[in-house]
Amino acid sequence: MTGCRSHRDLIGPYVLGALEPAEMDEMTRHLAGCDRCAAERRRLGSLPALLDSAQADDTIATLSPQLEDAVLDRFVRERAQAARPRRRWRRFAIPAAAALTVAVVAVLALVLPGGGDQRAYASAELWSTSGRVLGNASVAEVAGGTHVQLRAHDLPVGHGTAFELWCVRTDGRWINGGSFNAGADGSASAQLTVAVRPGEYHVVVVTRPSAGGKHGPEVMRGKLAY
Amino acid sequence: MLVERLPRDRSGDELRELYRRYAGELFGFATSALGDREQAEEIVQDVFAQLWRHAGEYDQRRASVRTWLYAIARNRIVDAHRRAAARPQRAEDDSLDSAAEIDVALDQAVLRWQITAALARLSPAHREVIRLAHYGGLTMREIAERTGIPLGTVKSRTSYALRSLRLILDEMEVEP
Repeated sequence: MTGCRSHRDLIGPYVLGALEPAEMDEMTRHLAGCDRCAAERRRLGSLPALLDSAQADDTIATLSPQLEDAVLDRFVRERAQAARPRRRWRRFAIPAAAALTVAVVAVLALVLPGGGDQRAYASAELWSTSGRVLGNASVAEVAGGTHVQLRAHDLPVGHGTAFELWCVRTDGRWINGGSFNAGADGSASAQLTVAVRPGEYHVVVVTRPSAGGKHGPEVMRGKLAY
Repeated sequence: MLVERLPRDRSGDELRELYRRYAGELFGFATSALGDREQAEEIVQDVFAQLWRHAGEYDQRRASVRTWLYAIARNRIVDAHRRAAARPQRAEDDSLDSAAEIDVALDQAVLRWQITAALARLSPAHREVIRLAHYGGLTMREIAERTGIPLGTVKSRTSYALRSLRLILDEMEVEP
């Protein structure tokens, strides 16, 4: 039901009160005798009041892509915690030379120690911005994401021992993998879960803690070899 | 059903799908109710955390997924308003005090978001005639003069725009 042929295009303007006074009067008389137009007028009649609920310049708030990552990341972490006993982060205070040896061995290894049902997919040497190897990362698949085992040495702890791990997706988006602390000697060993799947990212980055919604200065990074 | 599969969701795919279906409107609702994007994002995160934690308790005979998610969001927004009301108030602070005030404000926020979302779904030409006629207070003749569109076209376009809007609102279950 859209009104009669002669007046149907006037019902909308009439409902909005946007006709000239003479047209409004003529339409009022028509509505009194035309059931089709009267029905259409009733159907549209509540719209002005509904439109008043919003403002002309209201815009739809759009979600930031990072929110989906945050929700999925939380989901993956909770699932990972529920699936296995929570492991406390272990800090190894090992001499730098020993850590370097372990790092080289770990880069070559494709199976995570104690991984159980996990399967290593990739590993990477992590290089500082000055070109030194400071650690390595191994990646294994878990439900809905990946598990990253990180080992590092000689991290610069002069400005704090807290660091963050990031996985850079192939579309350029940085996905936060959580934070970890290094020991006073700059060594660190951490296991973190990230809400991206193996193959969705190829670069792992360690930064200083985020501030103001932006990741901190980069400390080291590496490209994963799948 | 997606929610029923969620407790066994090992891949995250079910959650992703639920997020893509509902997160936008929940965020719009929360933003409209709280006027704060950051708080609204926290609400959306909390809603989905509640969703996967309690998916096993969901009973589709009692409520649709959408209704359930809105109920969770609503509770979180009420909590946020209560926290705001509990803070020492400044002279210009307009925190809501009573449960009734919060309910009214939430109903208004939902409706405001629904109307804004419905308008966003119209074609730009339809949205423009509604904007000029309703929010701008212009007559059909004035719109025709301003836009250079023939008067008859402006009238028919306005009628089509309102019919489209009514259909969209029907789909969104917005009562007349």
